[in-house]
Amino acid sequence: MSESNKDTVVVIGKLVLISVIAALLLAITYIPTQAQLERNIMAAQEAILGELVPGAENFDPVEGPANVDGEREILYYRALDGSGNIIGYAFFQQQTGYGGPIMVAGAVDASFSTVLGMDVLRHEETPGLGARITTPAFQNQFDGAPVQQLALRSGGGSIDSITGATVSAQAVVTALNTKINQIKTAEA
Amino acid sequence: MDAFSEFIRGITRDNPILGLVLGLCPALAVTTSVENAIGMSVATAFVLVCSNVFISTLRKQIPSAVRLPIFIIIIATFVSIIRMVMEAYVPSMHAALGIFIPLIVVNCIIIGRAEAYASKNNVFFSFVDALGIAAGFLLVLVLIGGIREILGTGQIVAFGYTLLSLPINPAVTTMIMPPGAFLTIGIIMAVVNYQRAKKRAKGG
Repeated sequence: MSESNKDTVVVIGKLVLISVIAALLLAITYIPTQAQLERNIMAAQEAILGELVPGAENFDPVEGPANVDGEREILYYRALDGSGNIIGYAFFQQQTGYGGPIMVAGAVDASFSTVLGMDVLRHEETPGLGARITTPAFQNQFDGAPVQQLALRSGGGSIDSITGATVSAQAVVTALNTKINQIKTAEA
Repeated sequence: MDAFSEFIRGITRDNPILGLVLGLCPALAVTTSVENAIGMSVATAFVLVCSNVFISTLRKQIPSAVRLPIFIIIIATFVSIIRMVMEAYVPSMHAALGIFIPLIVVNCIIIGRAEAYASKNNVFFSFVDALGIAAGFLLVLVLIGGIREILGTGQIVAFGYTLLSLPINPAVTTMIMPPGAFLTIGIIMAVVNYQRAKKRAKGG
């Protein structure tokens, strides 16, 4: 092996070694922070569920069938009062909007007649147009809205759409309707 | 070369913002409040101290042909560590600083100190240099953040404590918007340069 080849090997070896050390350090940090991150997300979700169903003492997660990895996805939550009666159902649902997926949180009462509330957790809608799904003016319409009329006004419902952002508003309504029907079927 | 003057040099002559004029991007973008300024400075200080010490320790082992890739690997590792820790334990701060945490990787202050100082000096002085530069960065960011916050909101609130409150709220909203950052940093820099020019004229 010539002198310059030897130098190249040494340089490559040092780069590899430093990268391996860096990867190790990152792995050591990743494990505890990821666990804490998941706890943060859980706490944030619980806070949102509590806001949607203010009377609820407890949320009982209803899980779907196990997937290939043996993990169960939480389909929705039964909102229970102090004595364990079901006072409503709360859920998270993802729906494709105009700019990307919209993560919607919602709650419905135990008889599936009234929507208790709606919140948007994540979205990628256009600022100033579709992003107005996060404004109280839009969200408050859902508090106490009858499930029968859960549609945009143009579709014969009671929800005012957002000018220039019908796709975003419709996505939220669709998310709620889809999930409420799913829970109704599951609970029946 | 004594340690104390090396430390002070980072705050005065080699102050990253006012002396070296490096790292203006975070200095402009995140200084909407004192709290954000402190958060950004602490994150930068962590990366700066760790990378300076690491690079200085390895300076005789680092082949000069690939020193920049190695610096970047070391800096990016520490930035990722602080980003993960902040996201997990201070999520609100992480949300407020947003993209500017990962962007510490390309912050000229850190790579600049690695190239200009840590790769040429011993571990102890590199550590002191990093502390000095970090302190200089912190002081200027807090000053900019303080001026913008007090003029924009009428009070300075950091970590739940009201540090300073004006009897009348000036409510100059512009100050907490991007133009306020340019105005503040421009005026501070003008004052500092004026003082420096005066000192130089006196033959100092």
